[in-house]
Amino acid sequence: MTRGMLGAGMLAACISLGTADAQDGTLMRAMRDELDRTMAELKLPDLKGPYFVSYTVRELSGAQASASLGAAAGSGKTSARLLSVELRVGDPELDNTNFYSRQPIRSVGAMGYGRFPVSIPLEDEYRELRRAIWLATDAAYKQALGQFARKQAALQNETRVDEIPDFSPSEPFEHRADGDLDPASVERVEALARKVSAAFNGLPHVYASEVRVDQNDEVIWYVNSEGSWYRKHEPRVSVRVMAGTQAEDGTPIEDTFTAYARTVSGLPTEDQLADRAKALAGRLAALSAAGSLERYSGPVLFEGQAAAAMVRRVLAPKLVAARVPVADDPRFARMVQQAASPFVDKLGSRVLPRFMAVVDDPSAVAYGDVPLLGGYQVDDEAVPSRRTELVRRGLLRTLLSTRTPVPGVPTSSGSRRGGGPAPSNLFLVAEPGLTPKDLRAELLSLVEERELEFGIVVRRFASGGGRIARGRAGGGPSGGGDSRRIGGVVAYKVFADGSEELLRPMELTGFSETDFRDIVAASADSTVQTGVFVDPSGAFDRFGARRPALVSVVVPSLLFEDATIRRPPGNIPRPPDVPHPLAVH
Amino acid sequence: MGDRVPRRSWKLLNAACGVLAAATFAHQAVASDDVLDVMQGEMDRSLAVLGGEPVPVYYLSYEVTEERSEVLAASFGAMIARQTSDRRILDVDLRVGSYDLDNTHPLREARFGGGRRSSRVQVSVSDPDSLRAAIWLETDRNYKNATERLTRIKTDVEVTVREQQEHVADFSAEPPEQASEPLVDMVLDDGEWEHRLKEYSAAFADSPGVYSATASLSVASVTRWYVNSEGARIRTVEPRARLFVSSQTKAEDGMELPRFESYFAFSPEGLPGHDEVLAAVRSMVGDLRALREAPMAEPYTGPAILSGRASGVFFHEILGHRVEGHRQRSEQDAQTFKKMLGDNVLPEEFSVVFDPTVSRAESTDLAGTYRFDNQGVRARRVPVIESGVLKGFLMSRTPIEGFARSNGHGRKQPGLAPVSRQSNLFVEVRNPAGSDELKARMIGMLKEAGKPYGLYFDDIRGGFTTTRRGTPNAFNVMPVMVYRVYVDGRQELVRGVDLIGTPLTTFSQVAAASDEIGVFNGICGAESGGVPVSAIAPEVLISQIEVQKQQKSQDPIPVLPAPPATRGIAVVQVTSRDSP
Repeated sequence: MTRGMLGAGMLAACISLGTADAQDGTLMRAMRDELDRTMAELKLPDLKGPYFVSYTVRELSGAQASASLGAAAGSGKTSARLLSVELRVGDPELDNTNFYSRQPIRSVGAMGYGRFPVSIPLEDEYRELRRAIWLATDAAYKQALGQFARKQAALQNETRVDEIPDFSPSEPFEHRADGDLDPASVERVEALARKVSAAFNGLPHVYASEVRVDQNDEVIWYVNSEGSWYRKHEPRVSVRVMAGTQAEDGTPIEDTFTAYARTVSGLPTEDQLADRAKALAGRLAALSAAGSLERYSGPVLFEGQAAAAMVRRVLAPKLVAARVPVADDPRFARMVQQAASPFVDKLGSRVLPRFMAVVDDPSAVAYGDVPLLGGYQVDDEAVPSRRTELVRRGLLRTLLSTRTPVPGVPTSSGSRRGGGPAPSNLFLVAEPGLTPKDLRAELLSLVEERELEFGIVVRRFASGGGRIARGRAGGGPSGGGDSRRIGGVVAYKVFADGSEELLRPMELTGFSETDFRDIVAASADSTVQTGVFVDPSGAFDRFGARRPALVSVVVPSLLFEDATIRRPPGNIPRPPDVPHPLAVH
Repeated sequence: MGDRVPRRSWKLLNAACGVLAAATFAHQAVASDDVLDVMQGEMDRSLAVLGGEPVPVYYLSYEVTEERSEVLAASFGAMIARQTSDRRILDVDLRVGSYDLDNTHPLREARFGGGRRSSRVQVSVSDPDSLRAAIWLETDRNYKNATERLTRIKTDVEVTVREQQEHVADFSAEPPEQASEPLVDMVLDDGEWEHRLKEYSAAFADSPGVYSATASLSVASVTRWYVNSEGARIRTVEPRARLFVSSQTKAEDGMELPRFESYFAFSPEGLPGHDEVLAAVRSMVGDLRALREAPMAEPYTGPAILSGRASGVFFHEILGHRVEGHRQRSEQDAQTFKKMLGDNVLPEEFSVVFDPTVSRAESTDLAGTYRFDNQGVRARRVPVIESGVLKGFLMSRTPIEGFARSNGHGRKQPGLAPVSRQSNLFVEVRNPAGSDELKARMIGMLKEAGKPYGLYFDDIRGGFTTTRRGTPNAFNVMPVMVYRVYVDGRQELVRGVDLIGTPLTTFSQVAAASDEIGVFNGICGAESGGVPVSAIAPEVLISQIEVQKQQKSQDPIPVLPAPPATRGIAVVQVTSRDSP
């Protein structure tokens, strides 16, 4: 079809969609148009206008359902489009960000906007999309001016020790991923939850069990005032299976596993999930019957899933460059210091033994035949993703970063996901790695050297769903929490003759990222574990975080020279007085 | 709810927030009496064991509350939210000790202990085994907590000075009720409702200066299954539909000026028709324009008239929360009315009754209606003030001095422990005046006092009050539409004031009422969570009220004007006929 001149007989003027528009769609057009107007015109008299603005819209369709013993317990479904505005006043050297104020965020702006994200129309109504973006931008601008003024006031009486810019430059980048929102279906997730949860039927030694399925499909649009834009499609589905019981003496024993995939069809089959649930029930029975141990200090071999969990929970959060914000109150200043990564001061120093390396690779899609789910092509700030060598020959070379620099890491590694930097697919590699047999022999030789009766192998961290142990001490490891105390350690005594003895869940104490330097040996083979990444700086995120990023870690079994495990402190609750209802049938 | 900040507030029906829902409400549960049978069976099994323990259970109840809900919301003519949710919460009330002294007795150290949690466990009602297992586990947890707490209470009681002279029991025995209401299948026509919500919220789209306009519909079907060890077996079904239109503008000085309309009915079909809502929406648009241009009201004391809806909220705050029985028992509570039984507190034409058994007033369904409360007690009419004289309190199964039994007002939201709460509040007036007569009386008062104007409070958005001792016992009613009424009868809209006062002084100033009745349906929040309530009250004349300036936003209107409605570069699309 061709375009002609305006004919005399034409009455109604219609809007035509240019090629770019047709591809962008109404939402992107509204975002771009309001962005252009904002950069050109948004400015209060005598005050600065923004030097940088970005809009992120997450269009999401979510369904979740929970079930127990084959019966649906609850479900829900949500459709939303959520807008976050990141607006900066000042200049990249010093702007309104990286600031933590004792003053709560006031409800600002004409619509009381002040916290992001905000809901915007689900439909492609140009006028209403622009109206929503306009009001949110106005609120973000006024909020930014207030923050900037308070930050300048806070800095007035201080000499800035580190002149680190607030924002690092980045080349404009364009990216468009196809793939449309797969509308979430409550019926589908509920059917899956019911089927998997039925695996616990007829197993009255399991006191509580629950299966929760979350399907969360997202399309994310982004545009910024530097000319970058993207459209990403990030579907995600998870099946979380929780079960718990009490041992004969009342000790709560709980375990959980979560299977992640991008789509429902990418999940393990229903039968496979049910088998894993049954295996979980079997582990509870074995742990209930296991003996206990007061305390052990000595060499510990973390195998497979346990090693991967340790890296994901303890080491990975330290490998990101979390900026310490300026605080306007000395009491908060101490608190925000805790957000700092201890590794910022370790750049160039030894954090692992010489034979180990760490690489973050967002382009990896699988390890063997196990899918890796941490990958992406462009990060949330429109910085293209890239492979980053974090640790080489045991020495820390850099940290995963966003456009918010930290000392020693001036530019982005394309790692902004949600509120801050996060790993993608994190590979811990040992050169050389040992065979399982040699690794075990190494453990036993350390045990012998120490003249210990036995060594310890940890195979799993059994995180609890809380149904049994709720409100009581112990419980599973809490990601991002106190990494120095990790509960739910499923450990085995290993004797010189090779025999093993399972122990009741123990607690790993006094353990931190510095212990990784003392790894004695590691296996050649690795285990993959996928889970959410808890952003250590998340508490100070003011731009409205997204759902937590998924991280896949690929980790060999790890032998530590020294670790301490002990029986969880605290009293043991009494076992139930009334027998389980299904046991008496 | 921690009552550390002892506010009991009306929250408007903000359907756009949190709650989620099921697209259709076709009921898939097993025959519902099976649910009661499972609950009963598990209760009997637990009691057989726990009733014989050294610290025996003397009372046990289970309540399963199922909420199947759907929320639709539009803003300025476009949908912004579609949510469905389907959840079932189990509540266990397990008591050890005796009716006289049990594990729920307040502990001295627990200064903020009003909001006793029961549990919040999602359960299934479609499978007996799943429900049994969940009940069993929760019963065990509750039993252990109860025995531990009773031990502490027994010590505590020995060493505590009692303010009350008379010994009051911790729990009342009540007759076992049996009832089974038919299940309701609510089906919502999403397409039609989305169309309606878009049209309501679109009515504001061309109004400059209106920065927020949403219309939302939330429908929920609430089914409760309840059994207790006294023999109660109850299934109730409470469908609800709420339509909420909310809009906000901003005056040039930054003051945020909201205007709301909310409608409640027991089914979506029971809500007002499209034309009626649209007419109300159009008048909201006009009100916002008028509010933006209205002068600021100044602090004022003098006579005022409260519209029916405003006076309903006024009575809910200043009277209703102070006749909730359990507050007379708490030594942190100011107990305004505790010693005033038999005293005149209002003019003798005035009576106040709480009646959850009435389901409709002034052609409106009443949100505070129910047949049984959350403690298995049958709902009933409770006269609180008769001919101006204080006669009684709203009672849960927690007795107070002089009131040993419940009158069916033990209420809560799922997951919290019940306390005495309001239902449908009726202000009844003998020989009411006409509306004009009331206004004439106010003008007479103004002339006598030499004041140029009085105030008329028309629409309100809510209010709150504090009843605890540590803080002044004030109330605050937040009006939306306030008029100055001049001695010549002229009316002028003003903005920016709240109606404030203290209860006893304000009561003594209630002068008269008209026959204009207003109905306010809302959600009341307090220790036991949000519960639906209503207030049905006439226009009242108060001889002296006080207003204070409202808290005002410091933020100016948006820097940039509203964006253009279209992309602006309108290109004419040419048909092939015009092609060369």
